[in-house]
Amino acid sequence: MKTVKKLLPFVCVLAICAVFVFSFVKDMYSEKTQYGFACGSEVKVTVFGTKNGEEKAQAAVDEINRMDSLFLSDTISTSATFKLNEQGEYTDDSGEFISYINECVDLVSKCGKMTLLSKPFVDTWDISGDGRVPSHEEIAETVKKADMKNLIVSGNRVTLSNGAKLSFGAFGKGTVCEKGVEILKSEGVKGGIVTVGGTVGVFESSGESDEFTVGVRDPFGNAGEYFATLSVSNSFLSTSGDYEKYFEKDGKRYCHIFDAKTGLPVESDITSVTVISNGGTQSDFLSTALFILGEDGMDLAKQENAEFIIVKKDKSVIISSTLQGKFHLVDDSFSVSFVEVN
Amino acid sequence: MKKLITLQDLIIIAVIILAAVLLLAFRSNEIGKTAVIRIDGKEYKTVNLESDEKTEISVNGVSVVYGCGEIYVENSTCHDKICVNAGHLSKKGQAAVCVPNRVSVEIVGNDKNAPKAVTG
Repeated sequence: MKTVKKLLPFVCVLAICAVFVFSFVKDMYSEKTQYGFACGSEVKVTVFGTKNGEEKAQAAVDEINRMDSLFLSDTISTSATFKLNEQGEYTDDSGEFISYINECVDLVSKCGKMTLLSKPFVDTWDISGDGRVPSHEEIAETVKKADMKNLIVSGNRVTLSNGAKLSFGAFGKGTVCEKGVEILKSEGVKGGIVTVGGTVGVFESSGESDEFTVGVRDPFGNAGEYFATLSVSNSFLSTSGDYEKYFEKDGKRYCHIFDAKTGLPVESDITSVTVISNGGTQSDFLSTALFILGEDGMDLAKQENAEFIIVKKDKSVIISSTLQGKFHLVDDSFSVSFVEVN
Repeated sequence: MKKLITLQDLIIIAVIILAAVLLLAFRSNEIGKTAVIRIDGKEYKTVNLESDEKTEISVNGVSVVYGCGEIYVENSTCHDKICVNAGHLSKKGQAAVCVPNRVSVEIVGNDKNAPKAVTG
């Protein structure tokens, strides 16, 4: 009896220690997020259920930064894209840059109204600055510069002619997002989310059927507000829209996405397009393509095995029928219709 | 015969357990609504949004106002003003980002029902 009583305080202390150890371990495995900036956007990497989550998330952020400053950025002077634009030619010894250009050229060829040489549009219209409406002559000039014939890849050399300038604006965020997910997987992370601007990559490889809930941005609301949610497990989601990057002149809104054939900012009854697919580069490309093509782009999405959510300015929403059951409307002021693409 | 556990022992045990539970609760839950302000992706300041009056601070050329349950970017030296246009934020997960000045503000918390990410 006496020994039991003597042991009591020890048991209590032990129990408390156990509670703390448990909470410490739980904390160690809880979700961890790291942030950064790349491709003109915020980068956010979250990992779940892993040890040293902070380090692993940071590894993904670092790789995204590396790709941006080494290849993709058209504003950082160390990048291959910047050098190519400055010199009009670039020799790529590693082959990584050339094979990426080829991948993007291949995608662009599927949408006649897009170009990889979109930098003259963004610069001439001063999209990153206050915005200005150029003259007809200037616009005609940019259309000539944006012609994909001005980009020639031969072996490990890429050349630009007629004042053309390369920009991965419609691809880069998706590409680095995909790369971020790859890094997390190689680090043995079971589940994670990588967000780079308008592209979100989610994955879980635990074998459990745990799905993530991702909000679909409300184009009429504030940042971070969503009008619907999607249940996804291993996918990339990209959104292109006219509600964030734009300028207004004389009461007219000019968005940052251009039709390469007319050289004008896209004007339509669509305000945002979200595309869900297996690859980040692909989803980023397709969301821009569908924003430009409108409903005509639905066939392209189908060909690429991708799904879409098209939001019109009148709050009507067109959704791939395959998203039925995964798509959940939150805001009833939107009217939803599912379409089957044949 | 002496009692195995006296009232005194029980009180001590109860106090210790209560202390442990309270400590745990404080560790895992943030009290009230908070927002994190980051520079270059690294935490610069965590602010409480529950106070009744608004506070304005300047972070890397971005003027941030918080209080009364919300946080927003009042003004910024950047050109695109995407951070200002992000509007007034009051729900978990909402964020305003100024890419040119590399500043972001995000509302954090433990809302289990909020989606893990938002597109766009």
